[in-house]
Amino acid sequence: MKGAIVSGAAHQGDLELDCDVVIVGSGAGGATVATELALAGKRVIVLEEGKQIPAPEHGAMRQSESLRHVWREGGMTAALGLFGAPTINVTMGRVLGGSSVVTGGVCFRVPDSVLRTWSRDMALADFTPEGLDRYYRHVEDAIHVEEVPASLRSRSTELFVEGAEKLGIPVHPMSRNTKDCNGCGRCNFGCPHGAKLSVDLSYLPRAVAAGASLYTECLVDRITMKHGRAIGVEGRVMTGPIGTKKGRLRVRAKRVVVACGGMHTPLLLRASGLAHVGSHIGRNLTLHPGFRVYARFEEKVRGWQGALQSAYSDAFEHEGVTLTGLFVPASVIAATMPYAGPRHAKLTEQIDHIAMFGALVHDDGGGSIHRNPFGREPVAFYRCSERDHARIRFGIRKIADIFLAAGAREVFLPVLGSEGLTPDEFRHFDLDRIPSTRLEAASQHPLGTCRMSKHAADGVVDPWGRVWDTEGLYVADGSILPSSLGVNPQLTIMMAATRIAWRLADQDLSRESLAA
Amino acid sequence: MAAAPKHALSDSSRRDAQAFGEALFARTLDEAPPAERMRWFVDDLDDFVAHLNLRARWLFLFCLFAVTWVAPLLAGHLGRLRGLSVAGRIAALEALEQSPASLALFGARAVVSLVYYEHPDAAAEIGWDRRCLADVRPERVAASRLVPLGRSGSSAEGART
Repeated sequence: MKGAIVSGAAHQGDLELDCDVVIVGSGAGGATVATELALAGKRVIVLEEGKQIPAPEHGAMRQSESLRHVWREGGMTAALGLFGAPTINVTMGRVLGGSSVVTGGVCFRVPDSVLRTWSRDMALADFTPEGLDRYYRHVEDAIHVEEVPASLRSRSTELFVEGAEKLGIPVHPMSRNTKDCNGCGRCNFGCPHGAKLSVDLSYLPRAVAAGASLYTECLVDRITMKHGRAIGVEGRVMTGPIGTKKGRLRVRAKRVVVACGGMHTPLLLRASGLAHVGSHIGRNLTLHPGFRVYARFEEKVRGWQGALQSAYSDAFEHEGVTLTGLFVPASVIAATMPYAGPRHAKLTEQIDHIAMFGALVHDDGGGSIHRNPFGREPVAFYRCSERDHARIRFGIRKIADIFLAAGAREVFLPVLGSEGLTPDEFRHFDLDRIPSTRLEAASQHPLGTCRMSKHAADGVVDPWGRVWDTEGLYVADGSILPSSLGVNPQLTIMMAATRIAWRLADQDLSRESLAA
Repeated sequence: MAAAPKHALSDSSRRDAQAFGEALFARTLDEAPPAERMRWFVDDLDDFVAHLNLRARWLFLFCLFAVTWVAPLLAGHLGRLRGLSVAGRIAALEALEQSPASLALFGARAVVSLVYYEHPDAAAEIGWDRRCLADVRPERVAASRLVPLGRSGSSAEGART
């Protein structure tokens, strides 16, 4: 039986539904669980707060249109830095397909060094490269993970690679979930060619074909609990550009899977009365703070022509830093240029001479997520360890060194209000004297806020995603990852969700009845 | 796409945003960008803000408030930014940039720049050809692109090992 995609905004009145498994969230984790369970014959309902925006429609949008229609809070969500940490812009999707729709499609397996920590220090014995391989392979096949060919590299990335080669730093081709990418360079803002196989194009159509029903514009407020068991969810059907309540939503289910992401899953668990004193729900937030460095070259670079993210270097993994290719729209580069008026204009005229690369920090973190008393979006705080502060500066310096080796005339560091530095000025620039609060930082990877653990006292879910001491309730998103990874987590979230889904699929739900 | 409510920004905020944009994007000290472009910019910025949730909207308005009232103070003027000449506004914004409140300027500048540089003439001025938008081919997004799913590399959809 084929399922359907139902717009909550188009539905009249309240919405009451029954199913085997209700999944809250349609991103990388939720879509994976939904598809695997629907294929296993379960009656699946997926509830998504955002709208369905078909890929061709998204691909035709201007970048700022994508931000207003597809990104959560117009891309303006921030984790507030505490105790000297930078305030970090955390971007997420609010659309069918979740944040997978607004990522660059980068796919990494968890580095072996991180897995060793999980399996040895955290006692998660199954989390070894060999133990996870079949789940990873399954997802990689499903979303068509492939290496970006050198022919798709932008000139910006080529210049970085040239500099890295001069310094003897190895750079590797990036792997992404794409097919027939032509390198138009706007992956985050909607692929005009449907080449990026985010879950709205890869997994969710399979889920619908296998009988799952997807409801968009449906916001879940709480999980319904009875005698320590999750028996469904309650919320509201929404309408309008900012989501106004339109009707009541109630779903009864035998299993509840929460997959709202690292920022929203802890809020939902807390709103459902699951956070007892000492609970880890909402704690242990890591973000992989990312920092960009621009470099101005004499030649025209036009860094937006070519694959957005096509190369990376893990040469400094032991330092907790991954160098990763990226580019942002020219309008965003302009926004980060200093001054106003003619001096600002003069700098913006150089944008087509700008190359860019990023550093992603494998952070120790220690941030937290809290309920916002004035709205439904969370309040997030972020702290850096001393090691994180050092890693940030290491990554920024390393990229600047590489671009200067490639012949850059100036480098622009991610320091608020700072101007370009010539090679000589950079050599004398004391980055350690710049407080981290003046650094521009961004993140797409909120992780760890409902972390997995071997023992109930150390985390929120068990190694199979079940919420400790709660029957019938699972979490399957980035919030369950036990620590930051140091690399993009999308593939690992889908791997973990597959593992949870296959375990759930083996449960015989036909003998159970829905709770009243 | 659902229509957004008109004028999420008050008339006063629209004038403040325009004054900010005129100074930020001026290419000379005494001349703002063309009026037609600024009208497009303010209308599109209004639509952007209309699609934000309440928190993001207030965050933007807070940043705009800092630009409007704090920047002139730092340059030694009492009153709104729009009460100054273009040259005076530029000096005020650069003073704000060097102050501890620079994060507010960064927030406001990020949003207005995103919108402003999408005007074709503004994009052309910074050499942004926006090639990616000229090459949209929706018909290529087809169901045939999907890869069959099966456990552990099995090619049969839904197959279990």
